[in-house]
Amino acid sequence: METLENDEQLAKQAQNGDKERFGILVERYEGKLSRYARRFLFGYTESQDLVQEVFVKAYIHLQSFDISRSFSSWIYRIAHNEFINAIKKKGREPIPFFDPDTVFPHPVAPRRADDDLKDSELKEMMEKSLQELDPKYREPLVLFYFEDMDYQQISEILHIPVSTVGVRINRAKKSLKKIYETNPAASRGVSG
Amino acid sequence: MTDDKDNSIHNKVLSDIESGKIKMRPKWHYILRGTLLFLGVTLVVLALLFFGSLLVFSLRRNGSFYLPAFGFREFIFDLPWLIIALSIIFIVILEILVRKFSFAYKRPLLYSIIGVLLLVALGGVLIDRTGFHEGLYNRAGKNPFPFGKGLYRMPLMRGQGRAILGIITEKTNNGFKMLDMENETLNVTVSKKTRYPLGSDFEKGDAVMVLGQRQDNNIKAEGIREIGDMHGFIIKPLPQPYHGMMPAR
Repeated sequence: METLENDEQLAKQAQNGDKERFGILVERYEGKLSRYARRFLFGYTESQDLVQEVFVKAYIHLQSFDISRSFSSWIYRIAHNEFINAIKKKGREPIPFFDPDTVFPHPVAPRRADDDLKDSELKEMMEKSLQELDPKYREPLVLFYFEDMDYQQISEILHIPVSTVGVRINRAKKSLKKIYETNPAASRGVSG
Repeated sequence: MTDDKDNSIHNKVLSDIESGKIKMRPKWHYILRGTLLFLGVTLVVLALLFFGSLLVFSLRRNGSFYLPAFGFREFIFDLPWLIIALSIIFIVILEILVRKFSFAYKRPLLYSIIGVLLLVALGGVLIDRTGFHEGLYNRAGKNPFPFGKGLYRMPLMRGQGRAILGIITEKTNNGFKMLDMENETLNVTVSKKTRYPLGSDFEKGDAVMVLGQRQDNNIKAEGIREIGDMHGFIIKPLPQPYHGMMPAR
């Protein structure tokens, strides 16, 4: 019965005081957010604590969720904020206050037929070299390739224009290829 | 396995909720926050419209629109920089506030900046056309607007004030007399150094802009240009004595 209800319906019931329904949402997103945290927060030992904090914040602020919108984007937005704050606190990686890429419109390149094949190679590449990228490029890549989100959803989570999502993903892919080509150790074990 | 399950995020979060350690914030908290945000945006928009229209009024009143004929430098120095700075501050505040809404953050920043600038420009011109600032300016410093004097007469609000608009009332041996926007008669003297970027064929009743430093009621004109073709838009509403003096267009 539980699985028939969508996230938004569960969130509505949780808003009305049904704590068990919130529990179902935690179950549904625990794995996803843990995976997102592991890939986005390389070398951050407290990633599980951060995921737990995401659910705590989600519960505290549940009444701010608009059930006409996507619960997935909403909880990933909370996770994004939590993870970015953790990166800022550590101070190991740069988080720009302002991104000039959000100022001007950029054309978004359409996907081609052989993109899926390239994507599977890219995923392997990413698993090995993702930590080499700046968080601002790493995050959209993780959301797009590992969390299977589209540009619209990523734009909703990161609060950046849809065209900027495209720009960041393309730049991230180019950077990864560069890293991959200049680091032979990274290429070992990758097919093709 | 049992330990793993007991230690899962799900169990920890649920037990914290059950024990009351974590409490959901009430809905009114977010309604209040949304209302405050809406009020904030409304106030900033109103402030922007006020400063935008004050800027148009100031440019019109000070004759800044006509200054480019005397060079870019004159134009830049005569701009009301305080109003411009305040407008920029409010534009930045508005941008920060509207970026919280998906219609703004989903699109490039340039679009929302253009939107805000268009709102300020169109709103500014429309409000100025109602004579709102003209009325406040005329009552500035008098009851019930004692504060207005500072707002409307500060040098930074009105630029350097080297451009003076008026209507020629009488030609004299060394220049002419003109009635300015304050209904005062000024003696304008010309010299060999006076520049005439659009010609020097002036007649009684012509609307002109005189560039120069005013001392009491005298101005040594560094430059003079006719503004007749645009007076309907630029100097409106005209003070009472002007009516009937303007040549038919």
